[in-house]
Amino acid sequence: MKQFLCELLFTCALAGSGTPPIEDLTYGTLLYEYFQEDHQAALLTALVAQQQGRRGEKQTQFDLAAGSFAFADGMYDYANQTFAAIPEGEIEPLDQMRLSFHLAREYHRRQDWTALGPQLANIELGKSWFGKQKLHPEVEYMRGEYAVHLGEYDKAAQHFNLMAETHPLRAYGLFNLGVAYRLADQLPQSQQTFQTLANLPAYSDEAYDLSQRAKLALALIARQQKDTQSAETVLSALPGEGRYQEVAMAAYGGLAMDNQDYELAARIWMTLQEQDYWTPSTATARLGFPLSLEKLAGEQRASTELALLQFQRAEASFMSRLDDLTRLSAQAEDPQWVQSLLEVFANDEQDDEQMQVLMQKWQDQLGHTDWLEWLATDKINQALTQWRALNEMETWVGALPEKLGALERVAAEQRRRGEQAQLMLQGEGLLAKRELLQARVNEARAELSALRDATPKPESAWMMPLADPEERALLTELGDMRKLLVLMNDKDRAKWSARIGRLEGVLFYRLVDERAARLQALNKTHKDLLTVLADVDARIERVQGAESNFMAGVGTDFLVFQDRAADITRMVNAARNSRETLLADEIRGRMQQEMEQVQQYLLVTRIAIARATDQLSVASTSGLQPGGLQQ
Amino acid sequence: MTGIAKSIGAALLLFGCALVWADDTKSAALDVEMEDVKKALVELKRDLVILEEDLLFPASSQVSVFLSMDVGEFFELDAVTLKLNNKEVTHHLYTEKQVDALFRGGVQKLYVGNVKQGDNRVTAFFTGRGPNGRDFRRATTVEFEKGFEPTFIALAISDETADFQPDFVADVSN
Repeated sequence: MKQFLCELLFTCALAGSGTPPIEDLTYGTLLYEYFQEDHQAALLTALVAQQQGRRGEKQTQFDLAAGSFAFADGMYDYANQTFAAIPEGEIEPLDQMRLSFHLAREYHRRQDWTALGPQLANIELGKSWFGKQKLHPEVEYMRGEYAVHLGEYDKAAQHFNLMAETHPLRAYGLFNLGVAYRLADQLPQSQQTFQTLANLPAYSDEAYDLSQRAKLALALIARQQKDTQSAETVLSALPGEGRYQEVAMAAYGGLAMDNQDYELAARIWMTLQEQDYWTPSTATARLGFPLSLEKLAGEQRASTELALLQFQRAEASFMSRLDDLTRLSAQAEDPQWVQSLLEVFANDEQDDEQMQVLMQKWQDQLGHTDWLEWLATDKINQALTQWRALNEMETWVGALPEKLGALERVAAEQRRRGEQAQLMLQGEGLLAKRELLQARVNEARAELSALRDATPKPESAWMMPLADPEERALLTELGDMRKLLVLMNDKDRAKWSARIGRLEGVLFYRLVDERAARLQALNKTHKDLLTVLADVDARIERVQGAESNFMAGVGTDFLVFQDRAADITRMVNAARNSRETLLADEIRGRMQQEMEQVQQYLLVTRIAIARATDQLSVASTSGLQPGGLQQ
Repeated sequence: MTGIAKSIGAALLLFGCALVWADDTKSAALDVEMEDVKKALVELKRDLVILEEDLLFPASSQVSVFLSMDVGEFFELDAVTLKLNNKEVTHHLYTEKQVDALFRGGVQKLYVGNVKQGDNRVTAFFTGRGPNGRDFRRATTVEFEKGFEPTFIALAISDETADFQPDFVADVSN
């Protein structure tokens, strides 16, 4: 069952009977983190496992996983180096395919189409047990994108259609395909692709956004095909709110102008220009409204005076906007100003109240939230995301000295204990006692060996080692008695000697009978002594080792850690400055762009004012009414 | 008039650029800069994790408890409580995402701590929903002798197809 859930990305850790080895548990741990989209934690687990030698036989799988996590975390070079270091010839076909998949993702990211093709061709997932072709959505997405690059648009569409309808990447694929069809002037196919996208359910914010853009694109294509009715239908079906509502309204106004329906156009422009904020659409409306009035005046349906008045209002509005932009451009030269603007994005998204205060502050300075449009590019978005990540890194590194301090105190305590143990080893003579134990072991071993080889004799030297303590006492007593025999008369000596001999004989034969069992018992005692000795040795070694490790290793490491943290802080600051510079450049650039646009509108407005003034002047000198309506 | 139409069209010409293909030399340089920071940071974190483990959980007293799940059709996991030598050491309440991660083959490192040398006992209490959606609570215990090497305890939830009941197993490796 679980095999069906395994992905092309990684090997799944399958639960089996018995205790899994540590490499399986560690690999499973990084999968657990990956499945929760915590790529940094997963990468860290992989790197720790590598450093601790806990990868067992799974080195290739770990490398593939580490490379993939690094890739997901934006460490593209690191990922590439990791993949490149995997010896292709030594890995199994399935892992080879996984490697191709990871490399394909990297080439796709870099848009290296030449390298991407062969890697995609290496991926063949085969068929399921009931004969259905196995698919991986990301592979199909990359195949579709590759086909788009080759100009094989229909093939690309096939790949995108193999993906699940609500897969996040499918919407992007369809959008890019629609754009490609349009650029290739294949408008019906482009229309069909955008239509598919527009019909997608809004399963995510991104999908909704793309479907709205698809609808706008459909309107644009309809206009391009002179199908104004379709364009109007599409535009009027767009929701009355959302990111593209104003763009749609502006497009609708433009469409009305194309259709020479100046009354409708005037209504649209009027609605749009009444917004109290500034966007490219509302700016267009400020000019579009008097222009449509001028056209209506030409048809005798409005007065030239009214058009002139609106042109003058537009002129005032454009000039005011230019003043604002000039002031803001000067402010954007101040790094503090840029940095405080970035605070909006550095704020914890969960803290709505604080965010509201910041947004209000910038709204007061910049007017509405139209300035957010300046930042709505992939490049800026990435820089802002990275800036926020850099702030988090700084916070982490900033808290490190405290953590290192705590660890250093733990190390110092352990070192103290290690030293204490060392003193105990020396001071209480533990090492000397250990030597005594060793001597006993050696003695027991020698005795055992001698007894195994010796022929049984009714002599003390043979009998004593085999005897138990009671028997040993008896043997000693009998030996002492035998020494006293010299003090007896001959008759008693013979009698007692025979008696002692009998007793010794009984003991001897008992020992001979039980020799095997007693040797076995002696052997066991010897083994027990060896175990005790090994245990004592290990403890002594550990205490001695701990002492030297703490003195030599950890003490030095803390200094290295502090140096490394300081280096990272420097790198973080430099990287943050780069992003602040980029943001400032981009804001200035976007402001300049908008200023040029406003200046162009201002020029057109002033020409129109001159035109309307001339008309009114000519009319007043000739006594004619310049518009169709009475003022 | 044409100017307006053009400017309106220009807003929509944004469509001319692909959404996911964007890069230039400047942003590539920023990417490299960012990657260098990330790499230095992740390596520092790696070494710190190892140092922490060495200091706080020496091999001679370290015990780690892992949890995995095979299929899990007969049991919907809500929480796990872990007792070490009859003392509660951790309690984990699972999110849907975490259960899904286990279901897909992930292994959770539930606990890492220290134990005394010699005999020890770990008991895990699993709470959730069993077959037919009924409340389900089960425990599994394992005893082990702590040696000088790190001890790993693997808890596994699997399906017992014979009686359509979940099975809870604990294994030890030294």
